[in-house]
Amino acid sequence: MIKIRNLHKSFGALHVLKGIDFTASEGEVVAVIGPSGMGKSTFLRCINFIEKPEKGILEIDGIEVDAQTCKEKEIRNFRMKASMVFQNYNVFKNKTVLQNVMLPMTAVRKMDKQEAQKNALEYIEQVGLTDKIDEYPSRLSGGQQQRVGIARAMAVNPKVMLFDEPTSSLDPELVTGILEIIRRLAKEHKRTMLIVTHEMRFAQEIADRVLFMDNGAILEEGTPDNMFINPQNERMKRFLDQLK
Amino acid sequence: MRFDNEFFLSCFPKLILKIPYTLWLGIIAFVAAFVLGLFLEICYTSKNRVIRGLAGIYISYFRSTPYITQLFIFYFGLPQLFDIMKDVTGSTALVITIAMNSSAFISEIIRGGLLSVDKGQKEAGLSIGLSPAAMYKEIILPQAFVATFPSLGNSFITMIKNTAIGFTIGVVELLSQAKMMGASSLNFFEAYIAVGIVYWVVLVAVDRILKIMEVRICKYL
Repeated sequence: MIKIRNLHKSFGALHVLKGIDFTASEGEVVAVIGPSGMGKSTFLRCINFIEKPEKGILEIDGIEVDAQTCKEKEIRNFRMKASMVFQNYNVFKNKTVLQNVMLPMTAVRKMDKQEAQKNALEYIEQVGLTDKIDEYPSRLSGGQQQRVGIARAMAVNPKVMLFDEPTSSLDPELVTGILEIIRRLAKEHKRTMLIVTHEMRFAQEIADRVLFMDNGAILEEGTPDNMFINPQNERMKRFLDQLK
Repeated sequence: MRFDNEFFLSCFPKLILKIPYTLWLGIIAFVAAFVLGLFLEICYTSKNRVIRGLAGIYISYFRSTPYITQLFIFYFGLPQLFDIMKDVTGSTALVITIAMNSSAFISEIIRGGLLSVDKGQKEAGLSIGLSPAAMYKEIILPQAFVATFPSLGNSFITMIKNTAIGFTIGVVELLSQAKMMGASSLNFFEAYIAVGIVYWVVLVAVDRILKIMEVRICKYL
């Protein structure tokens, strides 16, 4: 369903991803944990081609691209198979809540306006923002902006949703609400998800599988119980100890 | 010395009649400058080194020579070299010079505006699959426009004021009108005070209108 082989990415001399291999099946929720600055976000951003990987073969839902040879158009088609929820929300500032959520449908999926609006209202309802549809992002709290971000990512109708530390910029009291929405998406809608997070309890509870990334590679992976209760890898143990 | 009140007041009707012409010169020059500025900005960021170099020279010339020199070169200098330029009227020369001069500044305003669009906004656009054209139309240009509107407004006001220099080449705009009235009656002081007031009122009004537009355009900030 999503399959990644030998993914490499460098920034200048810094080799951030060193040959990542990864597969997830449909509806699987995968949490990616690990120390900061070790490639977790870059991994997600490469899947969505926000950063262009140097090397690697990526496949989602039967569409395959080779990072070394792919063309602009292929990349754009591939991008639509996944969508991203950003740490800093990145909600379009010049658009209202409703326009933000409609845009993937009207400008990309070429859906007709009425249908797009009907769908958008549904997505907005799922994130609990129905009373704010005509507000601009500047009038919304961080938590509300992130809800818009999630609704917009759903509007892409992706096969995989990528969450890049979705609660890291939020005030502590707003975190629970966002996690609740993601939990519901995972459980009720059976969406395939990759979630980079520092919320270990959340990861343990929601994920079918946990990846531990350090130094540009996946060092250990397994079910949450195995990973958190009985980690094998030394670095993983140390990482968990530091969090306690 | 005495102040001729009657003459002073009689200046206003004639001057007011010239306001539309002055504004018209300013508006045409602004539109031309904006288009030229956009074109310059595209050249300046071009991959071709020659095009980039030419745009750089153009910007540097217009930023670093006095405006009146540019006007004289264009209106008095170039026709000696090119016969076809002899048919260019004063008002055309004025508008073209103002536009060329301001386009250098406007291209830099546009560049600043495009750079001011947050990287995250573009990443979100990529993430939902926007094509480059849609990205410009939906995200980058609207946001850059809002960021640059106040500076563009300032340029517009400067350009209206710059039309006053048209009197040096015989364009009958506001200042020339005042000068002629002053010369014919030898009441220079009254005529210039009157034209100063007219400019002042007009430009304050333009500024107000721009501020109102700004509030509307920037409603989402």
